[in-house]
Amino acid sequence: MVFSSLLFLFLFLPTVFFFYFLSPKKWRNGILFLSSLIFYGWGEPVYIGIMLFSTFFDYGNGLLLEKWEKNPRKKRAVLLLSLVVNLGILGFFKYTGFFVQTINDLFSLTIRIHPLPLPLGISFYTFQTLSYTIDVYRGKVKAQHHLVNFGTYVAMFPQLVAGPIVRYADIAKEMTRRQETWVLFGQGVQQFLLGLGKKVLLANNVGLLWDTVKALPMDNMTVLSAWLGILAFTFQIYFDFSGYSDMAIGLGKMFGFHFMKNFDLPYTARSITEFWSRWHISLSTWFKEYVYIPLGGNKQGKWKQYRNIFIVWMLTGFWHGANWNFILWGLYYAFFLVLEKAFFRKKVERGPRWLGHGYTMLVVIVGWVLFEHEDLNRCLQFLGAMVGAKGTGLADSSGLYQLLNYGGILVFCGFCATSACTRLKERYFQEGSGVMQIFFLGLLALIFFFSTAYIVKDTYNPFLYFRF
Amino acid sequence: MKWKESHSWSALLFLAGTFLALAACLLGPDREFSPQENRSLEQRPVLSLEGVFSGIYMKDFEKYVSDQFPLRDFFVHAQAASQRWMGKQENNGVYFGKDGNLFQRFSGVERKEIESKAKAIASLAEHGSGAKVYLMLVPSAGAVLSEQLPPFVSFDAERQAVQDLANQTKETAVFVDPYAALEEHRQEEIYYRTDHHWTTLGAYYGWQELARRMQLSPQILENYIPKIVSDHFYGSLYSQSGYPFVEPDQIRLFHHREEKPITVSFSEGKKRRNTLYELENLEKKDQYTVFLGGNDSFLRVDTGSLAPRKLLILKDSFANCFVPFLTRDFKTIDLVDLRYYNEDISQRMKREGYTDILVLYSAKTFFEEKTPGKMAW
Repeated sequence: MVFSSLLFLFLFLPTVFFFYFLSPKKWRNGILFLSSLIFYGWGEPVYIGIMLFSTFFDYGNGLLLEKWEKNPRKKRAVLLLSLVVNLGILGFFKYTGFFVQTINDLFSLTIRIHPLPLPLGISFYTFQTLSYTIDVYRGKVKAQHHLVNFGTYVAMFPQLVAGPIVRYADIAKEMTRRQETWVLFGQGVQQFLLGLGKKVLLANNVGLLWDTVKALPMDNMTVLSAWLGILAFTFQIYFDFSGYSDMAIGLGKMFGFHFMKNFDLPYTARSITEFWSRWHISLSTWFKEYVYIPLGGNKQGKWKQYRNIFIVWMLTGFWHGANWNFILWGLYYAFFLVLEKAFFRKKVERGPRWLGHGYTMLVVIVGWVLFEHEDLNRCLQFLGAMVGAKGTGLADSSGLYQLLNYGGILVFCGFCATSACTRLKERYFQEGSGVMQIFFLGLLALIFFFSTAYIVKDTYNPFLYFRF
Repeated sequence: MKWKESHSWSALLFLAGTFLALAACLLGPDREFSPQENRSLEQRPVLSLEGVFSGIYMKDFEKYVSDQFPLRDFFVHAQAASQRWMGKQENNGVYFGKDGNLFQRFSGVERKEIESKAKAIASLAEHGSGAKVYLMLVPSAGAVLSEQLPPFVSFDAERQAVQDLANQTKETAVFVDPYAALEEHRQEEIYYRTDHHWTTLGAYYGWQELARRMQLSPQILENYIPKIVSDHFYGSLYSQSGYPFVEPDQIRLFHHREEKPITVSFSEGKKRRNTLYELENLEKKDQYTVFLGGNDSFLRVDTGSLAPRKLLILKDSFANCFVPFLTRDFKTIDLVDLRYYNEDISQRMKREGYTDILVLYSAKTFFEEKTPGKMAW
């Protein structure tokens, strides 16, 4: 199931609210768990088994770690087992194809494997259960004794399929003791609706432009078309991902949970280092806690730090997709991060705004080109087109048409990605006078209405000639 | 509850909205057919164990929920309107032209496809049992009325494809291009505003060009009495774009002053009527089906004319309003729609001994559809 569907918004969600809020508190986790199973099983009726296995497995591991608290050897064995099995499952489903392909390419073999569909959310929930076992091992958090509570943590539908990656330590308390209030619910609604709008009204719309440009034959790719296209993708991925995170966090609030922010206006960053403290925060936090710091972080000198950054970012890239371009994308960022740490981060962050901002956005946009092209050959061609090296010209009528078509939308997207937009929302709408608040409510209602309209339209399928 | 704050109101309104929709979904009756979308709507799927395990039940159920969602058409219109308001020049493959005219997009065609279609025409000529093959492709409205298109949009690709095809069929068929004739009359209502078809008047101008090349008895416009049978026609592009703020079209039938009684047999000869028009269809949403009653795989018209010629038309729906102009010059007219016709066309041509074969399509359908290739069977 997806959040931006009629089924979820108008059938699933009200039903869950009905049962959840009319039940006594001690049943609520159970109801959340059950609805989450339905939510997940709806899209993944068979592979739900893997998610359940992962849950039982690490629930058991947590208990064992607690039991053998004083036995470092046994504890390490359990941790190792958890790591191997969890990463093994992830590797098997997500990366087998990639490994086989690489071996084929390296040794000129033609091993064929039956491609397996990727279980929904596996990259997210394996990381979540791993954060649990590692934190119990470290003694940072106590093991959860109630299976349902633990299951709720893993499977909770707000964040199961697309994050944010919630560390068990962060919500352990709220799992058993939380307070659902009208105000919190309302705040959640506001965040949810804004996230819905970001995804359905902004991301999906501007994504159409990228689809059109992506499909252009390289001979027709002018500078204008290439830039319009990648700019569209730059907005699409941000609003899609942050919109989904907003919906997840908003839903969490509705049920009394406080999830951490996952995006913090990343496109206002003035250095790549700053960018990564604002983009997909839960992922970079996970990698910092469980890979960077265990590797020594920045506590073992400059060169070890640079090495650690490269390792972490290679893994970050690889986490995003089972292909070489993703690994390169990760290394690309590692390169800039190290460069900044070594030379010019302070200069660029304290310099004029436009310098830091321009530099960061340029690096990020070029990064997205790498991210979106699994075919590295085409990737280079696209980059060439962006700088006019392909000789296709500055602009053609197709590009000018798209500029006319999407110009307004792109400008509006730009505005929504800035802090001015957030300030407008927080200072004037949410904390403003009665009139402003009513205006804001009206705006939210419009967003809700039009998001529904767009979701309906996606299923609209008129036939010119009647189908017998 | 702090009613001074927007939070509490947001909560209330959201709950009200979702529960209202839930109630409407559960309590509202299920529709079977959507006139706007011209298709039957998904009904509630049957629950089965294997349906659940394969995930098919869930997919069907979601289709069911969306197809039966309350106020579905209204939301589609709202979406289309919002596209216009945010500066978009098109929605769902339909351009928003000037003066509220809608234009269907031409998606382009590969050279391979043009060659393949040219070969199909050649094959038709070869198996035509001596009949002469005439090929007429009707340009898209956007190709003729280019000044009404949004800026930077051109249909040059379509014109180029048509010219390429004309070159490649020089030897095998007579290529009739109505483009110049339509262009000359571009200020008149030759295409519908809300539908992708040409109007009866546009078809007349196209017919004039064909009549010249095919040596048909010449007529003048005054020989026809136009009759307006509808002034609230909301056509295919209205549906496809979802855009609600358009003026409806008028549909005219052109009756010749000296019209003779004719017989039309359809549904594989099982049914007959004595007119080319299905006036009952004006009650439906797709009023264009007043012409010939829609698209059948095979239709035979006995015109009552004394002319010795027999015509075979391989067509799409653009021929439906065109046929009435041909009844004076042919004893019988057979209409074949290759989308639904599955017999070997060369067998039919051998049997019937047609004197003339006309391939009449809109350029867009001819290039984008695969079925015209069936001519080469």
